[in-house]
Amino acid sequence: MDVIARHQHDSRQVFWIFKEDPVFPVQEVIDYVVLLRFDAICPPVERKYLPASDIPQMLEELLSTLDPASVCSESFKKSLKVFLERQTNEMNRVEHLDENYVDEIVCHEISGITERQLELFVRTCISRYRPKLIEPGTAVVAAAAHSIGEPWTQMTLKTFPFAGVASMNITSGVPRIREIINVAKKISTPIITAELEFVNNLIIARMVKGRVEKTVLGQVAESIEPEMTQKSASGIETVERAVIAQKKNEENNQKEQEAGKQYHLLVEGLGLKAVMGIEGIDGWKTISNHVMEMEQVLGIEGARTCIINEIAQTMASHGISIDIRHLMLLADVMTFTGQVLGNTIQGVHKMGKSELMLASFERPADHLSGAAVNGRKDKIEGVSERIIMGTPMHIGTGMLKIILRVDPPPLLRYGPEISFQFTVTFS
Amino acid sequence: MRKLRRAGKVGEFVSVFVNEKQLCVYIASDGGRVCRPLVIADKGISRIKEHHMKELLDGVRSFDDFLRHGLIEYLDVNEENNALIALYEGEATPDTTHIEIEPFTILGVCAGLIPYPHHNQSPRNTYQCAMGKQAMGNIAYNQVGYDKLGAGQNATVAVMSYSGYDIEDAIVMNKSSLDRGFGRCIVMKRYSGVIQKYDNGASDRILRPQRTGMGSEKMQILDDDGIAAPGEIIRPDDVYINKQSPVITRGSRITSAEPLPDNAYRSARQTYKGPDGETCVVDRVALSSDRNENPCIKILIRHTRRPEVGDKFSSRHGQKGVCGTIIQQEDFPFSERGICPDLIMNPHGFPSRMTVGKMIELLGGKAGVSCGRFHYGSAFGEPSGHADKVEAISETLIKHGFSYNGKDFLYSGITGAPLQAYIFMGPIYYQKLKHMVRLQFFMLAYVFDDPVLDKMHARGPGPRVMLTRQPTEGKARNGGLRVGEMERDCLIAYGASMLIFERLMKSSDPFEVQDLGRLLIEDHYFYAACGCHKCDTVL
Repeated sequence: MDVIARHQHDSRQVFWIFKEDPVFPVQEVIDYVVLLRFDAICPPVERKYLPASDIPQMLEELLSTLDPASVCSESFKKSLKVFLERQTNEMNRVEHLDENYVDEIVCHEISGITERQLELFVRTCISRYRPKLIEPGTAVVAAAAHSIGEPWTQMTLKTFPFAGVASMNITSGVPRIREIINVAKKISTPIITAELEFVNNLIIARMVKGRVEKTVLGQVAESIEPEMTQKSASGIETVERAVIAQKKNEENNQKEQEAGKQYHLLVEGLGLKAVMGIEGIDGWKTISNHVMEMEQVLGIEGARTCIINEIAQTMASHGISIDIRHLMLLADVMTFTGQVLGNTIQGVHKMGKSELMLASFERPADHLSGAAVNGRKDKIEGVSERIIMGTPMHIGTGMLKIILRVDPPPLLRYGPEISFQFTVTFS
Repeated sequence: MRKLRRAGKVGEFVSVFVNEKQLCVYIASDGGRVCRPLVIADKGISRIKEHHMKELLDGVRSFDDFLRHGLIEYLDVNEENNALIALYEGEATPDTTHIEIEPFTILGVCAGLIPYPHHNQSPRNTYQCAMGKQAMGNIAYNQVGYDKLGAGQNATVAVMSYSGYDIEDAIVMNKSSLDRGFGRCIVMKRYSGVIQKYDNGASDRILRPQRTGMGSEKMQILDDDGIAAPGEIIRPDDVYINKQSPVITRGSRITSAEPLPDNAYRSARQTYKGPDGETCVVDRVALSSDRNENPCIKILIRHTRRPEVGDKFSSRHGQKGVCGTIIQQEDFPFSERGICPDLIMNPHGFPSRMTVGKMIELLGGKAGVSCGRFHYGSAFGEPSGHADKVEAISETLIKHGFSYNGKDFLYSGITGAPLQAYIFMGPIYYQKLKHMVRLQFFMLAYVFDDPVLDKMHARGPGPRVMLTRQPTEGKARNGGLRVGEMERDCLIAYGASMLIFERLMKSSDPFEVQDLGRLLIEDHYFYAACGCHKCDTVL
C-alpha cells in the first residue's frame, strides 16, 4: 500500500512511500503482540490445535476477513507469515526431538496454536497496526517542518572538526542547515568524499591524492617568474586540497578490521565530475556534500539524497536524530519540480502558484501589484490563501465537507416485508 | 611607580598594570574604574602589624592613615591580575603580594546581602543579586532607620511537600499568617489634574460637590472644595476632582472679570478607574502649580495588597517561587510547641540548585531566635569568626531543645497524626518581588497604569482597531492576545482547520459583504470581491 503526500495547491503528487518501507516498525508490532502471551490470554480450552500445514491457509483467510480493504501493507503480511512459519518450524522441531515419534498431543501442548489463538493473534496484530498508519488529510509537511525545525533551535553555531581529521573544518550546525535549505550556490566548505579503488593501500592513496590536488608550478619548478608560481601544473583546478582519511568503521566491523585500515579521500573544493574521473578513485561511490553540485553532476535524485544525508549528518553531529521520513519529505518537496528549490523567495515562487501566498511570504507590494497588472488568477487552494480569505483550509479536518444528499430518499414502507411461508405437513 | 603610590606621592586610585605579553606597563588614572582596598604583603608577610591594629582600635589611626602609610592600597581590575592575593593571613605564601582585608569585601552590595554565599552554587548567588533588586522594601533611610533597610520578612518556613500546589517552585502560604499581615505591601499611585488656564483667559474651575440628587453618590469622597479628601476610601467611578472646563477655549480674550455663567462650562470630572473589588485609600492630596503656573492637584492613592495566588516571592538564594495556594492554618502542620509555618517550600528545589546557604541560614536563624543573639553569615567568614560555624549553631540548637539539624517533629494538621519524617523548619528571610498578579472576578479588566504589577487580563468581544477591524492590542486598550504565525503553524500541523477558521476569522475580523456577482470589465477578468460563504473563488 502506498501513501501519497499531495501538494496543497493542486494536489500534485509530491512523494509516496513505497510498499517496502524499511523503517516501518512492523516487527515491533508483532514482537509486542507475542509478548502478550497468547497461551495465557486465550487458553486452549478445547485443545483444537491446528495442524502445522493448515496454518498458512488459515492466515490467508483471516487476513482477508479481518482486513478486507487491505490496509495492511505487504511487508506486514509477510512478516506475519514469516513469524507463523517460525512457529510451525518450532512445532516440527519439537516433533522430531525424540527419536521416536513424539506424541502429537504433547507436541501441540508445547508449541501448538489453536484456531482461536491464531485468530486472536492476527486480530490483535492488525488492530495494533492500524493506528500506526497516518490518517489521510494529516498535515505531514507541517509536522515534518516542526520536527526538523525544533531540534534546529537546540543546535549551537559551532563548527566541528571533520571526522577526526585535524584542521579540516566543515560548516556545521545552524549555518550548514541554512546553506542546505536555502540551496546556496556557494557553500563555505564543499567537500567531496572520494572512495578509492584500492581501499587498503596507503601508498596508492597518496598517489591518488597527488593526482587530485593542485600542484602549482611554483612547487615544481626550480626557478620561475613570479607571475607563474600560482599556475597549476596538474591536478584539478577547483580543488583546494585533498586529505587522506581513515574510514570510520560503522557497520561491517569485522570485515573491515580483518582487512586492516581502510582509507578514503576527502577533497576540499568543487569539481565532483573531475574527481570521479581520476584514476584510482571509485567514481561510483564518490559524493559531494554540496547540493547544487550533486544536482549538476548526478541529477535531481542525487540532489535529493544529498539533502537528506547532509541534514541527517549535521543533526547527528549535534546528537540529534530526526526520523528520516521528515527529511525525505523535505527533500522531496524541495526537488519534486525537477529543480532544487530553496527556502528563498525565488524558490518558493517557482514552487507555488498562488500570488496571495507569495505576498504573505515576502514583498507583498510587488506580488500583489504584479498580479493585478497581469490579471492573474488565484485558486484559493493552499493554506495561506484560505486563511487570508477566511475560509477553512483543505487539510486536516477541513479535508471533508458535508455533502447534502439531493436525490429523493427511498420511500419507507411500513409493515412486514417478509412474506410468510407456510409449510404444511400431512401426517 | 607603585612605591610612589604607596608613599602617597601619586594618587591612590592610579593603577599600574604590567602586561607581560605585550611587554608594557599601563598606567591608568581615569575615573570610573572599580577599585578594592587590599593589605599589602611583602613576600607573604602583611605590612599591617599588631600595633597598627591596636592603634586602629584606639582611634589613633584611621583607614586613610593606613592608606597613606603604604599599608593598604587600592587595586583595580587590571592590577589585580598582577597580584597574588591571599584570602587569610595564614594562607600567605612567599609569592603573595596582597592579603584580603576581609574576604567578604570580594562581594558587592547585592551579593553582600546573601547569607553564607560561599555555600551556594554561584549562579544562584547571581540570580539573587538580580532578584534582590526587585524586592519590595523601603524607599528611603528615614522610613525605618539606617542599617534597617528592609527588603522582606523573616518567615517561618517548613521544607516539605504539601498539598501538591507547590510544584515547580510554588510556595504554599498560611492564610492566617496573611491575615496577620505577612507579606502585605503598599502600592501608591499618583493621579493628577491641572486647572488649566486657556489662551482666551478662561480657565477650568473646581465645583462644590453635589450632595443630593443625581450623581451624588459618585461624589461622596469629595470634600467641600471639590477635591477628594485624604483618608477616604476611593472606589472605581468615584469622582476625585470635580472639575469643569470652559466650552470656549479659544478666540477673543474675555475681558470682564465676572465669572462665566454656568452653561459656559462643561463637566470634566476626573473619575477613578481601578479594578473592581479593590479598596484604595486617598493617602495624600497635594496642591501645587506646574510649569506654566497653573494650579495642579496631585492625589496619591494607596492600596494595601495582600499576597495572593500568583504573587512572586523569593528567598535570598535565587529560590524564587510563586504563591501556589493559600491554606488555612488549621490544615497546616504544626510542631510540638505549636508553631505553624508561614510558608511551605518544596524540597525539590534544593537538589539541583545546591543552595546550601539557605539551609544554614535557617539553622542560624533558628539558633538566633532561640538564644537571642544575631548570627552572621558573611562570605568566607568562618575562619575569621564573621560567620557562625554550623557546628556552633548546632550546639546552640541542642541547648535550646531543638534537633542539631534543624528538623522538627511535626504533626499533620489534617489528620492529627505525626508526620512520618522529621521536617526541616525554621526562619528564612523571604522577599516579596514586584511581579504581582491581579485577581479578577470579572471578565473585562480595567485600565491600570503599571503593567508590571498587574499581569492578569481577559477580554470578551471588545474594541477593535479601525484600520483592520481586528481586536486591539495591549492590556491597556483591552486588547486580545495574538494567535501569531507560529501558533498558526502549530494548528496547521494538527490539521485543526476549524480551529484556525474560528481563531483567525470568526473571532478576529469577519466581515460580510453583499455578493456583487461577476463583472467583466473589458478584456480583464475582474471578479468582484465576495466574502460570502458560498463561493471561495476570488480575484
